[in-house]
Amino acid sequence: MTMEEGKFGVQEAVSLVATAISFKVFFTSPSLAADLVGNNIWYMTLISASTAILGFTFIYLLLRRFPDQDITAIFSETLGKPIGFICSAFLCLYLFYAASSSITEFTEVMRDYIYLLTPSSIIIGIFVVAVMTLCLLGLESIARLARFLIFPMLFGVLLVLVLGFKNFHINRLFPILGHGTLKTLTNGITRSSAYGEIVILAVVAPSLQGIAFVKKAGYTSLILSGLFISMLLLTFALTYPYYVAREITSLMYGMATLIDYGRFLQRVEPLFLFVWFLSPLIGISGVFYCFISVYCKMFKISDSRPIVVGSSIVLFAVCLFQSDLGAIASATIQSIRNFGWIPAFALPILALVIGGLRKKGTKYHV
Amino acid sequence: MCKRILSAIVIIALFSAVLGGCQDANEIDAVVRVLVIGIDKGVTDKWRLTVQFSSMKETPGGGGGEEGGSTGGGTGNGYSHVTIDAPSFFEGIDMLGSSISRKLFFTHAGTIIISERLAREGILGDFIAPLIRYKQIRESAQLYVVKGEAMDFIVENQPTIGNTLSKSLELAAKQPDNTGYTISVTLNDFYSALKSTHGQPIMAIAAVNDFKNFKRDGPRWKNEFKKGGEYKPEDLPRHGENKIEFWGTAVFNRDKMVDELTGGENRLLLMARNEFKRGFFTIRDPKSPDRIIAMDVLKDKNPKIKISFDEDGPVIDITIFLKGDILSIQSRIHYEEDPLLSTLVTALEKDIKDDLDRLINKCKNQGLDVFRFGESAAKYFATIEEWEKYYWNDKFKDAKINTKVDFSMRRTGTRLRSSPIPRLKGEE
Amino acid sequence: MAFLEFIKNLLTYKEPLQTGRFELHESPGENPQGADLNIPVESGNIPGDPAQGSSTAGDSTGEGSGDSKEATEDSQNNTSNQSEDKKAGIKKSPKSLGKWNKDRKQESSRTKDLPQDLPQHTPQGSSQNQNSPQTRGSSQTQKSDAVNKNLSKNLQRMQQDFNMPENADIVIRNIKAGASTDAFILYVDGMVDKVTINESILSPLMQTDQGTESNKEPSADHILESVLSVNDIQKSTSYTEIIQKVLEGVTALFVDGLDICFLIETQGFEKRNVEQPVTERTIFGPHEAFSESLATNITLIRRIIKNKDLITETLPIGRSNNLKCAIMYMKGIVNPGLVQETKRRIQSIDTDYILGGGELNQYIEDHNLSLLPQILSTERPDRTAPLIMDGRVAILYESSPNASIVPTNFFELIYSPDDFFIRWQYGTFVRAIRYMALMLSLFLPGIYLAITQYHAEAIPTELILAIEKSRENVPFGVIFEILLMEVSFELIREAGVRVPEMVGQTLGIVGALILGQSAVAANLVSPILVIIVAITGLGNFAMPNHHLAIGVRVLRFLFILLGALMGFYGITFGIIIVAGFAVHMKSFGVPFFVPIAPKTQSNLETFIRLPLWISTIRTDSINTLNRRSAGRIVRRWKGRRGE
Repeated sequence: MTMEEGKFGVQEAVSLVATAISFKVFFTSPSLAADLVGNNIWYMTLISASTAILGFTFIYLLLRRFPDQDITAIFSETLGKPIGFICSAFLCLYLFYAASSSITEFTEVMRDYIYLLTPSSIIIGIFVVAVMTLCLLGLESIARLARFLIFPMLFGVLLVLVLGFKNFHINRLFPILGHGTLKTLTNGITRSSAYGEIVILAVVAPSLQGIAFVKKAGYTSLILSGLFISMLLLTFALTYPYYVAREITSLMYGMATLIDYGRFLQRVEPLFLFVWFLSPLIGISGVFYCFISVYCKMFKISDSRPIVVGSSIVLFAVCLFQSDLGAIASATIQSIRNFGWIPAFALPILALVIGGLRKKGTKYHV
Repeated sequence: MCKRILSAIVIIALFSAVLGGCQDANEIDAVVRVLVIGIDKGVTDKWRLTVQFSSMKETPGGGGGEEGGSTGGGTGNGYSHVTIDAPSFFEGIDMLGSSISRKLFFTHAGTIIISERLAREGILGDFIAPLIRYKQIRESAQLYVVKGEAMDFIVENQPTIGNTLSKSLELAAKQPDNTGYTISVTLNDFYSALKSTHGQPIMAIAAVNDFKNFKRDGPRWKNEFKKGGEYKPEDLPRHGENKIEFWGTAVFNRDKMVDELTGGENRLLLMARNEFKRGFFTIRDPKSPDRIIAMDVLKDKNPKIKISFDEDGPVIDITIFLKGDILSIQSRIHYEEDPLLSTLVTALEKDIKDDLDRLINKCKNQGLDVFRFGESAAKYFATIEEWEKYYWNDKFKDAKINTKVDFSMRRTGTRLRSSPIPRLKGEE
Repeated sequence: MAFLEFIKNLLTYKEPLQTGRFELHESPGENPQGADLNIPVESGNIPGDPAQGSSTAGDSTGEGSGDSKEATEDSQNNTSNQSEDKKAGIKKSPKSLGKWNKDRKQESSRTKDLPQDLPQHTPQGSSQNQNSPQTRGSSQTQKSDAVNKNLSKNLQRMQQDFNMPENADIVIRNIKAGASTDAFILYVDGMVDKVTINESILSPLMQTDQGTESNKEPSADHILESVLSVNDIQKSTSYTEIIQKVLEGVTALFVDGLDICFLIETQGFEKRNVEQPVTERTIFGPHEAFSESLATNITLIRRIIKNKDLITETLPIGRSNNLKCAIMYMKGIVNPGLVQETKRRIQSIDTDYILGGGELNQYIEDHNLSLLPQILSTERPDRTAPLIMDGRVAILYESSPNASIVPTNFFELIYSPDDFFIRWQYGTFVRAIRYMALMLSLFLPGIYLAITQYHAEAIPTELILAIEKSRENVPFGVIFEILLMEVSFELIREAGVRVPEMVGQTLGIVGALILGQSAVAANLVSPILVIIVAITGLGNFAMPNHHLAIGVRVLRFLFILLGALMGFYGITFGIIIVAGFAVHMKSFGVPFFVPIAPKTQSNLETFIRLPLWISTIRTDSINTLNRRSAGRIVRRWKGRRGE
């Protein structure tokens, strides 16, 4: 494949994947999770992360059999050209759907909190232009940008957490089991889809220098984002009792509004907005680039630029279709965060099993 | 041709972005920022909405300035207010636009005043829900129940010190840390408590004191003992300057206000809720009962709450840890060292404990857990279902509550020992 | 129309070209001598100390600590191997497009090779076919280039080539050497030191006893060895070279009967003295700046780096004005690929006229559309020398008091030489201040606008009431106020550069104060805005790199616009776009945002001015041959770690 994707290191990959996974926690999904399992969201997500780590292990095993190949090539090699093509198409759709639903969610939450009058098309339009620009600049630049901006973003989030300390009440973590262990466990496992963006690594695997780096980047980003999301959800649970947490559109923003240290240090939430805007921009750019990448590799297109421009317009149009937050929150987000594990983890496992049966790929000795 | 069409599309897209983008911009001086919202039950409609805002007349601190003739709005000190009866909060905002030329903005409304009449009718939920959903209303706004009408409170609500109303109100919200006679309840706190399965909501009380309890002349005070905290809101015997005051707590059963606590009771409530910071306490001198001893009482550490359950209901053991300094010993008895010190400590502990027991019983009998005991009780349940099935708010009536106060004397102020004033030989 | 071209370009399918974009990757350790060279740091080593010693490019990864190994690998990740790509491309290209691809590839490789085919000329040789405007574009002259034995033919040729009658400042002086032999000297008036000509050339040549001793036939060696008492004389047989040298201030001596010409070093023209830096002032450290003389500039560096491996290569720039520039680097430290690339870029420029560094930088930088400078331009020798020691290439110019240093990165533009002259704690502090200054001057007006228009809830109540009251009588929107003030500030700034020095300072203060004050008094702007603009301006002045400061000034207006359009969302959009392009950029094959994005070693150095004895590794991203700039234990008097 002649598509030039550039090279980047583990830290860039971790920054990109962790951002793509974690930005969702700033939007509606924590309250959806709180509605499902109660106040124990913080360890539910650890269950999800562990499941995702397990899932990634299969992706890793698959990639190890086919060093220096991306997931599309592996699919067509293991499953045969037609089925591999269908699987790639499925993955491709998933990535597109993930990007578009996240943009819509972002837009609607923005319109609820800040830009009440601005038409959705403007917010989506600006978003898509930014995503398009980054995709035109290429994966290398997106990864570097993620690495560059992850520190300011982390700083912003941690600042909100630290300042929110005053509103924490340890008793809000109880009853400790929430709506029951079984519910937590099942929801935790299905919501491993929230970590489905790890599949990015499988798409861009050739850009990392070797399988050892893919392994390192994958596990690190899963563990880090798992801990990060868990920490955030823990602070949400400490700040809001479970019966309020499930009502609030963006718990993170709500938490920021509650910060009040005397007359000067309050109302800091607009500063937090930078984090709120930056993280989805970078995360979704990564996901959308992977969509472009899979698409181009499916059809063996080596110049991605016209595809980027074209599919950005499609993305814009698709985002405009869905227009009210209720529907998105219930249908789109739920479906992608409950069934996202199928393209993210099930397909690679399928490929791994069939590839193993058909004895494809190289045995990895080391 | 193709190029022209393309350029037209690009230009249109750019322009629409530019023009569409500005819709949420509000020129900073094109809006009026409401500082206080007052909510009453209306006469001609459901809501009576009063808003107070800066009239932007003259720069405060300009050294007096002209005292504008107080029209219906009352523009003294640069603040103004308007009242309207409206079917809903939001429609009220728009209806006010008929008289106020600028857009009303609530992002800086730090205080929300609700009239007692409204609170007592048990329809507060109807009024709180739209507020909490509205983006401009801050969840960290302070919430007060006002004795009488919210409108009257706002009329009297002018900064006493300085020119800035918002500063006065924000500092007033910090007063619980200094005095303990009032409590800081934000919209978010109240809303959480309203939805809570753990307990009942409370709200601070504000009042307009028309100084009627202040008797200028009359028989002067003898040796009786009365605590400062025993006054009810709007009854403080004070006179001068500002008529508004923040004192005591309103206790709710869900969204219906059922009782009110005095300032003194509020302190004990704070102690049990782990929100108490400090306060000057006065107790009777155990050795010389017509004299008093003043103490500076501070929180020592978090109260210890232990809860167990038997057939009748929960058993709650609470220990409150306080520390403090002696401020004055009128009798000049040497309390600073043992054994008298322990006498003093015991007397103070007993005093606080008795008051606390009285308060807890008062609330318990009405089944109102305003002490956050429920939150601690939730620890003993594994799942939310189990907890919700226990119906804590009902069971709280049958709770057995054992209180304990642990006070430790830290310092004796600037004097190490008290000694009597030497009397003349003939007087002894 | 350019914009439309751009859009059309975006929408057109193109097979990616092997553009041969330069990437600075690790040099294939073919220069093992590099490590054995006398690097000053190591010259102080005690022989046999196992903790010390250099590492060549080949084994540097192995020698480094675990950290450094990882970082090296990381940095390697960022530079893709061209040849590998190319191979992969050929192997895997899709069949349907295969033929087309092949054609494209051949075509592209042909075009790619073009600039590399340029003559790798030496400084002298370079002038051979690109000397004068007359020859440029026309067919090569048929005349012979060799010096003739016949003096009159030489004279004629020189007069012709120098357009003699019209050209007034070319001096030809006919003499009789040793009273008998005809000779003439040729020089450009004003470029030479007349004392040298009078005393060391003319007077020995014209002494009569010289001629009597020689056997009529003048011998070149004799003149060279016994007659001329000048330190630097070269022999030349090429007219082209002679002309070039004469133009540089050399005196040419033709003697009858000799088919060679003596080029006698007599340069001596008026030049400025070494003076204080103008834009890069520091409190501590040397106060010398480069001047317009190349020799002086080189000397200033040589005086700091007294090492035989400091290489100075001179290259001509500008096809017709033949200005010289010198590239300086440390052999054994610098990555040879970097030197080669620098030379390639400079030599490949095909233009008549370049005036010094400011212009050359624009010809050789990687991204011309970017608002950020990608070449570090400095007027301080003490800024240049440490970077040369770090493995960079410095380009010095005749007639330009600036050195260009390649490659550079964004963070280096924030450093000031002052950082290194003070203790590391102070250095860290002032560096932090400068980052803050950058942030303020870039974002403050935009953020102010965004906050007041879109996110007013962030402003404390009293402050917003104060702002509102102060704006009560201002008829314009905040955007207009900001633009008014910013534009007037820029005006004051620009005027301040032009006005005579004596009134300059007064103008600055008066302009800023009076303008601000009266704008407020006239209710044109609100007082708080004057503060905002003043802080922004101060922040801009605090930036040590002038080019970056100008870039930031331009970007600031972008953020003002975006803040006005969409509040923080717009500003975030701007950050994404600007930062996206910035991390995409490369400065001579090195990513512009190293060591943060991509991450390489010596990460901390960007924000903390590490203690000198801790930063012992050269900048990782430029893949120097010799990684360590100091021993493992720098302060040997302290003994080993743990002792």
